[in-house]
Amino acid sequence: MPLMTGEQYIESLRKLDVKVYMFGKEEKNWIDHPIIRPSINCVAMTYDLAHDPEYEDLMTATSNLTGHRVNRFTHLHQSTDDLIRKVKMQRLLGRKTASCFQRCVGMDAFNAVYSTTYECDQKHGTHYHENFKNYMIYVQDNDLTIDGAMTDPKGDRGKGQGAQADPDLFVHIVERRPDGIVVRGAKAHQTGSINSHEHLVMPTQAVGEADKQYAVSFAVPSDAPGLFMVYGRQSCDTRKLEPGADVDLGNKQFGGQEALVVFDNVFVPNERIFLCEEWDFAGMLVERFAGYHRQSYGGCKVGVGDVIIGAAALAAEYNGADKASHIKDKLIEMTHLNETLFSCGIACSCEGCPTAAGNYQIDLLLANVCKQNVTRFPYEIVRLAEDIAGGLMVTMPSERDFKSDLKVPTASELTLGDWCNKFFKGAEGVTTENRMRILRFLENICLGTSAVGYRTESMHGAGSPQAQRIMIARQGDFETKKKLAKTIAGIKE
Amino acid sequence: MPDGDGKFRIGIKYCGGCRAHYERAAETARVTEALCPSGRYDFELAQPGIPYDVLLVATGCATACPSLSPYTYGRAVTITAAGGGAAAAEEIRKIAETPAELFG
Ligand SMILES: Cc1cc2nc3c(=O)[nH]c(=O)nc-3n(C[C@H](O)[C@H](O)[C@H](O)COP(=O)(O)OP(=O)(O)OC[C@H]3O[C@@H](n4cnc5c(N)ncnc54)[C@H](O)[C@@H]3O)c2cc1C
Repeated sequence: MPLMTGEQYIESLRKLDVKVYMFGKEEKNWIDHPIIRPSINCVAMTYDLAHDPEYEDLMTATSNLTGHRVNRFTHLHQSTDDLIRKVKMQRLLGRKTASCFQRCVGMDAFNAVYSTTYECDQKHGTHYHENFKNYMIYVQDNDLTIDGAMTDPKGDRGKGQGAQADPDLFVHIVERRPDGIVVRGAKAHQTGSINSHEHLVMPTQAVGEADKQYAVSFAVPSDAPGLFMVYGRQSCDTRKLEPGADVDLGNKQFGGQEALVVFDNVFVPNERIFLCEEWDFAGMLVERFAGYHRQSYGGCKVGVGDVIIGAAALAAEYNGADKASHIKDKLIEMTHLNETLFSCGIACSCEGCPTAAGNYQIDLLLANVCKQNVTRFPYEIVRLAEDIAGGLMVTMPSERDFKSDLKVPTASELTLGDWCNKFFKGAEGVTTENRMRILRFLENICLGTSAVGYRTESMHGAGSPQAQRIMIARQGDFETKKKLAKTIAGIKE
Repeated sequence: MPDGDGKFRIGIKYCGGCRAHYERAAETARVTEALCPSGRYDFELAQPGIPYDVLLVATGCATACPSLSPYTYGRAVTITAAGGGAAAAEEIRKIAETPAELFG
C-alpha cells in the first residue's frame, strides 16, 4: 500500500498500542480525544492531498530506492528540484491547515540520517546505511509518519551530556547485546510524536569520545515496550472540551501536537541501529538535520502566514477599516515579510548540492539565514495582525453568549444573544458571527493553541536563534570577504 | 489530431498548487463545459504513457513548475490565471480543427 488515504492513516494508528498520558492519567482513546484529534486531522491532510490530482504533483515523488510513487514526506531528495518542491509542498500544507502538520521532522531526519550513515560506513566500515535503506523502503512502502526525534531534555545547559547529575537527561545506550542495544532517556518537544507510527532518534548535539554512549541513532515503533509519551498542553487547549465548541476554537479542524517521549530501557534490534558510539558523526547528523529543518520553515510557516494575512484582511473588511491606507500598508508589510521567508526557503533549495550518498542537501548558510528570519518575522506578522484585528479578538464574549436566548431582565427585554450581536456588529452586510469567527481565528494563531506552532516553534523549533548565528558565523567566510575588501581598497600587505 | 474513434483526447494536468492564485479546477471545468457539448472531445486526468492530443495544464501561477516530461502529448495548452479557461477552450478548438500533419 504505497499511498495511504487520511482515513487509512487514522485507522493504522488504531492498530498501535501507544501509551499516552495526559492531565495525570493514561488516555486510552487518544485518537478521538477532542484535544488531540485536530493534530491527527492535520497529518491526515498530508495523506489525502497525495491522492488529489490538484496537489499530487507536489505531494508525491518517485522513490530512488524502489521506483515506487511515494508520499513526498517519505522521499529522499534527488535534486534541487526536489528540495524546491519540498518547500512548496510545505507552503501548500500550511495554507490548507493553518497549523503545524507535523510530518516534516521525519522527512528531514530521513535525509540527514541517509547521508550521514553513508559517510559513517565509509570511515568506520559499519553497515548503518544498508540498515537505513531497508528501513526507508519499509517507511515508503507503508507510507508511515515518523517522529524526527532530536531534542533531549538536556538538564543543566551549562554542562555536557556526561556531566549531568542524571545521565538520562540525554538518550544513551545502557546495554549492548548480540542482537541489539538497550537505550534510555527521553526526547522533549516531539512534534506529532503521538500520531507517528515510529520514532527516528538522533543525538541532540555533537558528542565527544568520552561520552560516546550518547552518539546513538535508531528507529523504534511508537508502541515499543518501555516507550511512553506525555502530551504537551497548549494555551487554551481545554476550550476543545467545551460542549459544542466551534467559533471559540478559531480553528476547529486542525492543530499541532508536541509530547515528551520517554525511553525506559527500550530494546533496539541491530537492523534498526543507524549510529552506535561513532561519536565523530553525531555532529554531522545534527548539523544536517538542522539544515533541512531550517529550510522547512521557509515553507510551512509561509503557508500559515498566507492564511493569517487573509484573516487580517478579512478582519479589516469586517471592521469597516479596509480602505484605510495604513491598513493596506500593514497587509503589504505582512506579505513582504512572508514572501521573504519563502524566498529564503526557495534560495537554500536552489543552491543545494548532492551528498556523498547521492541525496541532496540544502545550502547550509542560506538555510540558517532562512530560519534566523523565521525566529523574527512571524512575530512581526502576528503583531500587525493584532493591530489590524483590534482588541475585540481578546475581549469578546464566548460563542455561547452570542447564541444565548436567555432574556436579560431590563427594559428592552432582549436576549443575551441579541445584546451581544447588537454591540459587536461591524461593517454593513457582515454577520456578527463571521466577524467573531475571523477574530477567534486570529486569537488562536496569535495566542491560543496554534501559537505553539506559529510563534514559539518559529523561535525554537530546529534550534534557537543563537544556534543559527553560530552556523552563520561558521559559514560566513569572513576571510574571503576581507580579501575582497582589500583588493578593492588597494591594500597590499 | 483525433484518434481512431474520431475523438480528440485531452489530458488534464495540475501543478501542485503551492500558492495557486485562482481555482484551477474551476477553470478546467470551464474548458470541459465549453467543449463537451460537441461530443468530439474526451477529457481525463493525464496519466503517463497514454497519448493525448492536448495536455491541458492548469498552473496556480506563471511559474508553471510541473514537469510534463512523463506525459505523451501533441500540444500543451496552459492556464496560468483566473479566466484563462475560455481562452484555453478556444485554443484547443483551433488545434483540433487544424490538419494533423501540422503537428507531425
Ligand atoms: C513547538 C516546538 C516543536 C518542536 N519540535 C521538535 C521536534 O519535532 N523534534 C525535535 O527533536 N525537537 C523539536 N523541538 C525542539 C527544539 O529544537 C528546541 O526547542 C530547541 O533546540 C531549543 O532547545 P530548548 O527548547 O531545550 O531550549 P534551551 O536549549 O533551553 O534554550 C533556551 C535559551 O538558552 C540558550 N542556551 C541553551 N543552552 C545554552 C548554552 N549551552 N550556552 C548558551 N546558551 C544556551 C538558547 O540559545 C536559548 O536562547 C521543538 C520545539 C518547539 C518549541
